[in-house]
Amino acid sequence: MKLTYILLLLVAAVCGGAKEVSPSVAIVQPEDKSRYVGEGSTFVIDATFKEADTIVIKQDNNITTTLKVKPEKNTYCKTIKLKAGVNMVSVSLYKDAKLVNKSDRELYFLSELFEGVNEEDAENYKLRFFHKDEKEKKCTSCHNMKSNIPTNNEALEDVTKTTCYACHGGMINTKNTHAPAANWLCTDCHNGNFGEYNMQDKGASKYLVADPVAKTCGSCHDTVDGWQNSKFGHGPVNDGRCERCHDPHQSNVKMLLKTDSINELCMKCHDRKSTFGSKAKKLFVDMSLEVKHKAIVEKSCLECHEAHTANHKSLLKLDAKMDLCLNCHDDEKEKITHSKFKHGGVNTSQKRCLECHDPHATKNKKLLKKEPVATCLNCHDKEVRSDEDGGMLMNMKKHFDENPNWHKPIKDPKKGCSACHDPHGSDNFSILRKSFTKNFYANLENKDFFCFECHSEKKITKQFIKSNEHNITSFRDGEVNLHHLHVNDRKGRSCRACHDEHASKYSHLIRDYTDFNGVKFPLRFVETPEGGSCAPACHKEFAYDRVNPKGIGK
Amino acid sequence: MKSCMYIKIALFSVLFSIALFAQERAAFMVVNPPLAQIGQESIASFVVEADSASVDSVVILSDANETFTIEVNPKRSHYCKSINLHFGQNSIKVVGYKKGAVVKEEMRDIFLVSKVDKEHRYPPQKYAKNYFHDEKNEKICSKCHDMSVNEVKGVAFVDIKKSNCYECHKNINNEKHSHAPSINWLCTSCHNGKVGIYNQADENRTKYSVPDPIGDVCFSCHKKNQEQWSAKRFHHEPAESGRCNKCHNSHSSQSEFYLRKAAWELCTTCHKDKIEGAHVVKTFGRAAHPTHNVKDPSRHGKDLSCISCHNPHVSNAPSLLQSETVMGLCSRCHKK
Repeated sequence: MKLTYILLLLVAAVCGGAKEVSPSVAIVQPEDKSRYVGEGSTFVIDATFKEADTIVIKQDNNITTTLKVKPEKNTYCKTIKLKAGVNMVSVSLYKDAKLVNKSDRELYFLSELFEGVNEEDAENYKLRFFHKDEKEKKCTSCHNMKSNIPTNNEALEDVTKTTCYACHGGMINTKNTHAPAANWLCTDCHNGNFGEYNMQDKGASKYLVADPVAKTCGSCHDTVDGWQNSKFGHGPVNDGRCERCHDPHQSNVKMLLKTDSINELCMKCHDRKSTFGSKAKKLFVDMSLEVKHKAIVEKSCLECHEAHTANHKSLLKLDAKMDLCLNCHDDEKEKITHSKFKHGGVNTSQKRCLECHDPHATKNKKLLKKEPVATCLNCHDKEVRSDEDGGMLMNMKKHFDENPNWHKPIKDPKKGCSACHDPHGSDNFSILRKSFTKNFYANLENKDFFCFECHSEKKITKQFIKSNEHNITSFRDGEVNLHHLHVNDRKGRSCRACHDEHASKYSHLIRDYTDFNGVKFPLRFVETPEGGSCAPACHKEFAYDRVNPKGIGK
Repeated sequence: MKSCMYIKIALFSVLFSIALFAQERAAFMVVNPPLAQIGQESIASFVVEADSASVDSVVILSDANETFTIEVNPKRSHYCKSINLHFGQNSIKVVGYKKGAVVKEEMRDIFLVSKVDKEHRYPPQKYAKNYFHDEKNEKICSKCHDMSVNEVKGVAFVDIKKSNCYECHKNINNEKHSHAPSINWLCTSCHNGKVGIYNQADENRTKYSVPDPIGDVCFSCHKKNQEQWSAKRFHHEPAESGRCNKCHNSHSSQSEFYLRKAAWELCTTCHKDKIEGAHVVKTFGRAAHPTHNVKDPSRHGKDLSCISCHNPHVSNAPSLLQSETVMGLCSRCHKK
């Protein structure tokens, strides 16, 4: 009979293997499929020295914690640090290096601070609370489970004496701490109250914190009440969930932020890839683009935005359309507000600065939403009324589409239209960066025209072009500089009489029509290998030839 | 019997003359111009209706011995030809030939008026203005020509030959210097069908009349002139009265500024007293200051003329001088 019993025991031992052989060897806490809002998970394991001498807690990130089982103690506890998302933790018990029991726990740490964490996935795991009388019984053999936290808001002289400290002491170990936490006035917040978002947890724990927590915070922080009067509030602020951004215990950074920088914190939700805050995600900002707003990179999102509440849309400190931008951009402010000629795109448009610029990050220089020319053509793809004189500005998109030869600076991806025009305003008409003329005739004597910033003045000043100076101009009849002939005269013609400063079907940006007192006259320009001819309004067809001069100007 | 003979002869001669008359009548007809017309431009358009059965060719012969031959063919009834005119009376003969023999002759007199030469300014009484572009004539032309205006207001033709005016009026721009609206065939910018105080008689006579005075039409492009001139004290009469086309040919000219003659010749057409004698200054024993036939030092590459010293339009100085002071005037050329 005794032999049979021993045999049975042996068979059971062999077949059972790593199964829990005795109810006295078990993981009391946590339950499988538990959800955590903090990174610490406390394992409570029952083990008797008779059955096991070592407990090994192994996490799926290869962190292993080993506990020695002692004869005088039957319950062991250990807090491990969870990683975000799913954690597979196994607890193995060994006796004489032989596995006697193994049990697994699948836990979920839900935090918006980490990528790959998902509110939907977290739904499969249950939030559980430790501090219930029946569970606390387990602890009482070692711990005093009756809170000694002062309720009069006078912290203990030696905070290590608080009953909470023994288990939760590891929580406060950074330089920035929240006063009630550092002073172990835990029950100031962990008051067992519930809020509208955690009604279901009512009575689940003596130390429950109300969700939303704002009222609790507001009991010390008066500012919370003040926010009620603001026009716009940040989502978490509106929800009263201060803890979404702030860690109520401690932090590596000021303001007890949950991440190491403001920007990082904001991007936790306001990223296209964010799995948190579906509303915040819609207001995403792509900060991965190469050109970033300096204010954000060198300072933070809070240069422009308020974190809590604001009287301007998008939680901005000032009106987004202009005031905010011009608060820093002094040079542009001067131009935008005081220029003689203003750009409707910035001064009278709907979005003002944001018509062209993205305030966060873009692929394009100067934080332009699109490439330089495309930015301008966003509006100038139709005739638009000029703020300057009320006249209609041409459809530039159509003009560029129809005329394949563009003025070189426009083709330059770094410059575009802004090579000649100052989009913020100018004292020169057509918001040109330097003077020019609208007229057919112009006195070119002072040669102060914008064109000569790039094009040599010699083009118009030299009457004759010698053989070693051919690079000055190709508009020659033999040695006679035909630019000089057209321009240096009592009735000097301006550049735009013959050239289209934007784009043309012809080479050398020769216009198809020249406007003379409201009448469009075709130039009838024909190019030949060594010259060409032209029959504009001004004269009959004249031909020129660089090699075999036709005798123009003689 | 004898009376019968007389009757026969009479009948024959009547029939013969009718036949002859009929043949002559059917040979050709000069539709345009009328017998005696006032010409205003240096060309006249002849429109001849010819019957190939009775005439092989029609020759138009100007009194400058220019001939134009029209070969008559059965497929066409009307033929047109532009004839060059000289100032004053032009007697143009139109002759129809059949197998080398003259079948009919007609004469047309055109008096080309000059806006400057006194002797050609006023045509004799028999001449009358003729307006070609009426419904009847245009109907004839429209067999071959598109008689509509195909000009786009404010945009010149890239290919001027596409202008419907070009085909018949192309010779008008033949001279060296051409006025932009003219050479670009923007005809209706001036030929706007309106009349002025000096040509009220033209009202409703033609679609293409030009107002006289023309000044306001000119100033619609030459805006600056209007602004600047109105501020001056003295004005040359034609400029003052807006009759720019008195001196300028609005189409084309051999002379600079589209002048009807070279500047000196043009001015002295009216100011004849300045041709002879010492107009400017004459010092003892030396030749008078020239007024032409030398280079003008003040205008590079140009010849000296009246306009070297006088402004032909306006001035603040008496005698429309180019400068308000004597020194200022002389130093235009005499620099040191």
